[in-house]
Amino acid sequence: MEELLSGIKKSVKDFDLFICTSESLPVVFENNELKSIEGSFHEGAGLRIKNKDKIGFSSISDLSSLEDTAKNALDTSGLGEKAFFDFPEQKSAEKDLGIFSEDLAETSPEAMLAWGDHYIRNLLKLNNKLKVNVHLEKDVLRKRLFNSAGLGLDEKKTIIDCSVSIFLAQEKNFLEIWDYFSICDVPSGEKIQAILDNIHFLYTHAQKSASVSSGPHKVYFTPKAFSTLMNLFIQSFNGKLFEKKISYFCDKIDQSFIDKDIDIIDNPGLYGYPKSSSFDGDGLAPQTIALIKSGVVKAFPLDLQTAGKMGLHSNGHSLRSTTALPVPGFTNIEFNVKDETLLDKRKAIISDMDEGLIVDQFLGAGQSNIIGGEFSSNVELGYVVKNGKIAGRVKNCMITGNMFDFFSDLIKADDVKSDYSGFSVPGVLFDKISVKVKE
Amino acid sequence: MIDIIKRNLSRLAASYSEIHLEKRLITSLVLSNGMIEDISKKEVLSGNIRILHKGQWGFVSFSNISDLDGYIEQVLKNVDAALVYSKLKRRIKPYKKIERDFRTDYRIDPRSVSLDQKYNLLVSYDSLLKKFKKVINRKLTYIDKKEELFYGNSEGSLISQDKTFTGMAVVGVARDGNNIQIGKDSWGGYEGYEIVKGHEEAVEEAGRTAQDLLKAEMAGGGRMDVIIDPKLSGVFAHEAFGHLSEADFIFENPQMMDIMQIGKSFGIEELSIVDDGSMKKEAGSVFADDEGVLADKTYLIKKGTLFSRLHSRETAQKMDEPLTGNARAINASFQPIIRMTNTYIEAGTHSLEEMLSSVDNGIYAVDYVGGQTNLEMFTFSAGRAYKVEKGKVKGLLKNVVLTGNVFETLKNIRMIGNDLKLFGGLGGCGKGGQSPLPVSTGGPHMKIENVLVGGV
Repeated sequence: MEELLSGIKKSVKDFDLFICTSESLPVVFENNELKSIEGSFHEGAGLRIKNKDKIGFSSISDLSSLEDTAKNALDTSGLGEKAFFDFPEQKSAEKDLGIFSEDLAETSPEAMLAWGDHYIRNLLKLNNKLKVNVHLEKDVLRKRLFNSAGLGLDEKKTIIDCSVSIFLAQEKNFLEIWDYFSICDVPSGEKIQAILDNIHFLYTHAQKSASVSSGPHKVYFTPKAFSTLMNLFIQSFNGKLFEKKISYFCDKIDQSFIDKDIDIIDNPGLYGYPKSSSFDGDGLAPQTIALIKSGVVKAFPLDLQTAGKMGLHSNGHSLRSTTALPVPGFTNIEFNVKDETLLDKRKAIISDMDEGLIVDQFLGAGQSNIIGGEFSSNVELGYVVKNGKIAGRVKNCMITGNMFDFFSDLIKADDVKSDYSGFSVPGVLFDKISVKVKE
Repeated sequence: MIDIIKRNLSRLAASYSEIHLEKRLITSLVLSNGMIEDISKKEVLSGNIRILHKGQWGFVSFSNISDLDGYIEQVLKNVDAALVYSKLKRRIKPYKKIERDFRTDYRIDPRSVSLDQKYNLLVSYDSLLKKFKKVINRKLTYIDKKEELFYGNSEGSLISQDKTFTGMAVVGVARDGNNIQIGKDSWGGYEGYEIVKGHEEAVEEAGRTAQDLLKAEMAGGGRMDVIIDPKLSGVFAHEAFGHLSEADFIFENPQMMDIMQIGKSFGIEELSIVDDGSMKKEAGSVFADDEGVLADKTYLIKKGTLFSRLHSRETAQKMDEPLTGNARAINASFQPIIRMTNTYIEAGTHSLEEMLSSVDNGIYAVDYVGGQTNLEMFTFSAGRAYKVEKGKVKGLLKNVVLTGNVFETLKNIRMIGNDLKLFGGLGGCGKGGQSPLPVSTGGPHMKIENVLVGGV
């Protein structure tokens, strides 16, 4: 590495170099059969430089050509944005976040074939006409960050992604149900079984159809659906949008926004979570920040450059790939309901609904004007609840409205949270959600 | 690179094998509110080896393309593990040997244009957006890519492609208190620097749209008659029917084969939907696909009936249908899967005026934000829309999302316009974790009855 860095130092004085290597093993089943076992071996580096206080950037996937990369970065710096930061010195001690598992790193294709086979065999018991797809991918990742101020950081991570879906086509009436997990260790039997149980529940209740009328309804978003909604919601908390003054929340810092019993936290230190990390894309120790604390808008993620432009300090939320400059971003988002009277078992929440909808999957969520809060999405997988019981699957139905308004009418939340793609969220029941139906 | 491919193909003892090696050089600039926010030069090398051996696929991808020994060993190991598990014998359709060098035809090589000139172009467009006082954020993105793609297979094909993609995008964000609205446009394709010049009107339109939407009403929502513009027709062709025509969703599913039988009626006689990767300059154009099959024009629907579908070598073999050149990967890190190229609805006979005059109470939807399908249902978001009352275009509407059942909606197309246009740009299609794959979409204006519209 010293040799690589000295090659760069010949051309530039101020720089940081982000290097990622990955070894992945995807095992893919399609339509109830093994499709392929793959292997993926990649590396890449992104070089950010400061030249006469301007930023230049170049990236490369062949580390032996780093000197050429430095020349490219210098070339771009002539027009580059003014730098509002200094490269940080090493401060943080790396801590154990439970993101690397030797056992997972050593997991064989045979073990992954057995998991896939287990899913297919069990799901076909529901209906042998189902087409089951299973995508298992094991990643062994290493990221390193060096800079001209002497910083040198190195982190290894293992991730297993498992996504399972079933598909059934009957007379132009299709049903697709999916579920997944992403963790840093070998999945337990319980973790594997949870997907089977969830798909079983969703499939069973989709056998009957039911209808609902257009208008405001109580809607229970499962954790999977709520994580989709939360993913759209938090986009307005990105530091870049605050810097550009186009976030809905720009002028709402320290203002009450939702129920005082709700916290929305970005926590980069959750043990064993794939998005946890001991350093951010700038080399800083990531801080836990409350986007919303007790219902009040509080903070937003910042990287060094964006914070510098705003006259603020970075909170260690710089996201970085090898092919782009760092940007502010999110890690693990927690939705916490503090008032215990709002919490209940999922079964009880549904049985207490006189009439309403359960939404599990959206189609087309996020394709509206999200930063304006506008939300209009087809309910891909949803159910009608009547008198506290699931009456059947609803189709030709849309959830519409301003999603920022959704959060003001929270009635209940699950007493346990589930993890979906960096979101640790409960299922939630909102009141007065606008539903449009093709009547 | 071709020599590396030739040398290593001969070492792969498999019934079918192929090797891709790629080098991509990418230059990008982002101008935000008149200031450079991002400027970069990137070089990406990648490659892959894919084999079909004893009926099982093996695939390995890598970024170090100088020494393939370890990857050859790995791909054989993966197939051995698959053979222990699976007894399925996959087969593929053979194809003729192709030995060709392809090169994008362009007028101005973007690499001959200096960074300063590219910056000045963005600045000149930015000055047009600046005129809209409510537009508080202006973003202009420029990209050019030189792609050197090398492919060889065990049938003896050796294909080199030297492709040049140029494109840019404009986004204006207008704000009035809590009301935040967006206007945008994008253009791009396999052309030279000439493609990003001369878009002053479109840039102004993006700014005007963002500002005007601040005063727009929400669509009432519910079931409506809708006229969609050529951009939305393109998204409809792609989302609502293109994906359903991808044979990997069909070839191992008897129920889907039954629903998608060739010759079935899907709409009025005027309706024809095409995928054509062989078109010149479009964003989805390919000389040959990533299985070495030359690009072609494929009718998906012809005169209202299902005519053919999009194939890879494996699906074409299984369904005993012709190859179409639609096995594509976003880069050599991924396996080719069936993807669209340039998908459009052919022109019909009606004028926009005729369509408008046939609508008593409906909407005219213009431009798109995005779209998605699950094969049965589709959804797409219009950039903006207008009320139509008694044949007249009235007030501006925002947050218009159209959704429906694909099969019902195709049958509900009542009029097809005579004004076909295609659109490329910097975005693309997502499928199987591969996004964005450059595609073009297009069509003429169309009138569709009974569409579910989201709104408050």
